[in-house]
Amino acid sequence: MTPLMEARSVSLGTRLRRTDVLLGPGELVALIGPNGSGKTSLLRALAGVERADGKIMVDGQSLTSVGPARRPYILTFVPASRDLAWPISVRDVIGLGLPRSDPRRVDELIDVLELGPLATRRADRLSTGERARVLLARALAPKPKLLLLDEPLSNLDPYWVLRLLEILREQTSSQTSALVALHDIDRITEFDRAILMDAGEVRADLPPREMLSSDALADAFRIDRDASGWRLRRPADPRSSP
Amino acid sequence: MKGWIFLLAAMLLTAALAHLLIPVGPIFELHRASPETASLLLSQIRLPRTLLALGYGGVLGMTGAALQAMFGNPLASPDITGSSSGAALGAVFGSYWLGMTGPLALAFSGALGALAALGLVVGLAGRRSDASVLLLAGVAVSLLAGAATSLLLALAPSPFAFYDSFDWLMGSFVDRSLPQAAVALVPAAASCALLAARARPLDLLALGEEVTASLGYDPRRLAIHVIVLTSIAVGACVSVCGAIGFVGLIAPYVARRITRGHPGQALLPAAIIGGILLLLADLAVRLGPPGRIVPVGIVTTVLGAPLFIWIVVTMQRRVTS
Repeated sequence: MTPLMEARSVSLGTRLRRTDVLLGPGELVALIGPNGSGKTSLLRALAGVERADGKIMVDGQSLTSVGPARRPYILTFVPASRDLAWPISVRDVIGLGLPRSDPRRVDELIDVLELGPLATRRADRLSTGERARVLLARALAPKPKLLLLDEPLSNLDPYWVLRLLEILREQTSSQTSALVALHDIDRITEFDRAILMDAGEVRADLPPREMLSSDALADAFRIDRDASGWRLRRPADPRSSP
Repeated sequence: MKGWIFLLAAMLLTAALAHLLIPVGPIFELHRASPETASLLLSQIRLPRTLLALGYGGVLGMTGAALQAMFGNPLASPDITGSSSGAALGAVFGSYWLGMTGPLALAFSGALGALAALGLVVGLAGRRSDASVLLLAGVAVSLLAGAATSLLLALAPSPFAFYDSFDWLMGSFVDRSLPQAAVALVPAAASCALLAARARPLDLLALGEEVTASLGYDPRRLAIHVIVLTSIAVGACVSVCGAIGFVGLIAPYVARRITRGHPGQALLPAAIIGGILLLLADLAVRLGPPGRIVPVGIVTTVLGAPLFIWIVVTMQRRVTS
């Protein structure tokens, strides 16, 4: 299978060390790791926000060779920040995702993300969760081949967590691939694959169920699973040792 | 949007014709007596003034819109960010201290002054700073440049420097020649065309610098382009006509009512609105009290300052509500 995205030896100083990531066409991949493990740095490097060392190919072409007119059709990125710098409407924010005006596509996304009642309201005055949906709609608008999403599920209510995962699944089944940074590790079961990062490196790249039971995950997060769920890992007590 | 542009362009043309021809009486009388003198009056005296008012207004509108988009701040404009006072300082230094006499050399020193001032404001406040930080940095740099300009004039080798430059420093289009207009407007038009080509990335900045970068535009390079192009356009105009306040603030503010808030798409309408505003302001000066010439910069400041205060008050309300 030819990968849709191939990142080799991608480095960003000490934040990201010679990282390799491959994504197949239509794959939905979760990116997990403790705070400061390099998830955001990896997404920023892949999105071209920061110029990283190494090779990044998307859809058979180097990202640096793709100009702004074609870039939104190749990849879009939604950062963790939900801030908007200008008072523009929800509809206009979604429209900004398209290099050429396409009101029908904007209407489609307003329907999919159930933004109808908010469409003419100022996006900067919406709640953080509502803005998250608007910004995702903006990223989906050009039907990119690759979606890079940083914590898209944070600040969402339970309905929207499930609905957003459903929307991502629908999108990825139509040849879009997505790499999604998450902090809720139990959600990775909804993904095709999970990549675990720690200290700026990829520590494991496994199917979700295997990832959840892996030592790599337990070590990286310093947690263990027992019958009742996740537990903090305590340093071994010398008095209880035989 | 296209309809609005046509309407605004028609208004601009009307304002330019009115500015060129009003008052119409003296031209008719002169034409009856001596047609050549009448055409000289139109082409050598009135036309440069009309072109400068139109062009400088356009520069203020467009650079104001570009700076507002770049800083993500509706209060940014060439005067608020210190570019105009920096350009005045540059031109005064070139003219009274370096003995520059050629308009092109003065335009160059004006552009350098604007660049230094705007660069200092960006260095102090950052590209995407809080509105109040940008305002404070802009005020500080403007005051510094204003004081330095006064000092240079007070200590200038020519004892008449202050008196000579008053009319120019306050902003005026009176008695400028066609070559002077060309020196201001040719570099300004080229800079504005290059700024207008950056409307899309300036719009995308509304989504933040990270998203703009991910869509293939380097926000840092974009900011450098905006700063340099603004400095060239404003520096060239200030070196010929002096500093004119508030048009660069009002025009983009009005233009965004047409572009539904889009800061980048507002560039062209802001330029046209700026041209209309400055033509009308200068027409008001010409039709003002006979025998007295009020510098046009004073008219724009008197009209623009209340709007500035209103924007600050509404921003304050938004923050506290």
